[in-house]
Amino acid sequence: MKNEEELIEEVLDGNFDSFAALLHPYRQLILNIGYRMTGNYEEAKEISQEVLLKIFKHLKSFKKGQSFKNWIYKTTINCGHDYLKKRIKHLKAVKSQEIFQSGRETSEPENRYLSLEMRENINRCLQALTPHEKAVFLLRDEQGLSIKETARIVGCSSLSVRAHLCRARRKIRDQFLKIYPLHQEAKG
Amino acid sequence: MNCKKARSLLPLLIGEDLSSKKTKALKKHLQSCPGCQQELRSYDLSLKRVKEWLKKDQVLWNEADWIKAIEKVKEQPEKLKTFPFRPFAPWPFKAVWAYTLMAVIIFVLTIFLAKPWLVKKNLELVANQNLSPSEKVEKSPWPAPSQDVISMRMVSKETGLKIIWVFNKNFDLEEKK
Repeated sequence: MKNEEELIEEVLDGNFDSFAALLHPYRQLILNIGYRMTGNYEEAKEISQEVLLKIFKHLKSFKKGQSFKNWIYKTTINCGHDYLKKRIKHLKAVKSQEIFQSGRETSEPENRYLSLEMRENINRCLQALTPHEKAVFLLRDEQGLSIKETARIVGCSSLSVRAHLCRARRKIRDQFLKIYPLHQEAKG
Repeated sequence: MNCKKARSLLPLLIGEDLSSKKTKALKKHLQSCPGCQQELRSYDLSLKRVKEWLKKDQVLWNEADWIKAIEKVKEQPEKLKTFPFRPFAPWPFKAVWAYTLMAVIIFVLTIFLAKPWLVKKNLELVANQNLSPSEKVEKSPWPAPSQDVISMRMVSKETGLKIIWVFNKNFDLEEKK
């Protein structure tokens, strides 16, 4: 079994089969981040495709000793941001509910058993966040990265990550209380 | 620590993202404040539940789609072969390159268009260095005097009397006609 560095060297030497082998372990990770950012399976696939192209084009600039996984996170987050910017421009009229509807129809059979309610809840929570807050929240709370790693990937200071994370968690809590108002009553 | 400060830090306490000093102070406040405790519980519950949902709601990339995506990337090198050399698009320094190039062009234009005499004079000076001393005198870089006659005028401040001397090109006094 070849390690990542060997596979990267092979890709740079022109062996394309190594590229598929290199990214195979990260494919679900790329797709899931894209999915979280857009909330749509088809759009997530588009983002993932873009990520693969970018990684292939810029593999030369990847420095040895750097974490390849973190580099993938960074590329995926950046592609997701670019995609969201484009979507805001072109699809302002499309409601998030409609997007999610199309996502459910085309999603994998294994995931079809997931309840509609749960997906709508996730959607409501994540839709309340800005793209930056979403990226920080996903990296820290879903992927379990440290504050420092998150800061490096997102390209800002640890302090800024904490501030975004704080805002994101507060917004998610507020959305959660809107979904389940019983907890709010108990709180009051 | 007051309630306002404590509530602003609660989202970070949930994920253990606070320094040990702040955590201690916050926990101390929480022991004596049921309102903040309730707030903490709501954060805890919401975050746990959302994390659970995210864990359950994972999308999978099936093999067929994965192969398709990889095939698309495989087509990319052939596209790139048609434009192998792109010096003005070295991502991510595109803007830097463009500004540098613009600055160089402006600099060159300033030298060659705004001050052409400077270039001409320098070239003549360089050419003159290769000549013999006698030739150097003849081929001076400075323009030759265009007049043959030079006049000099003196005016007395006291009397207002004017005296004019006229010299020829050999600096000999020339009689005024």
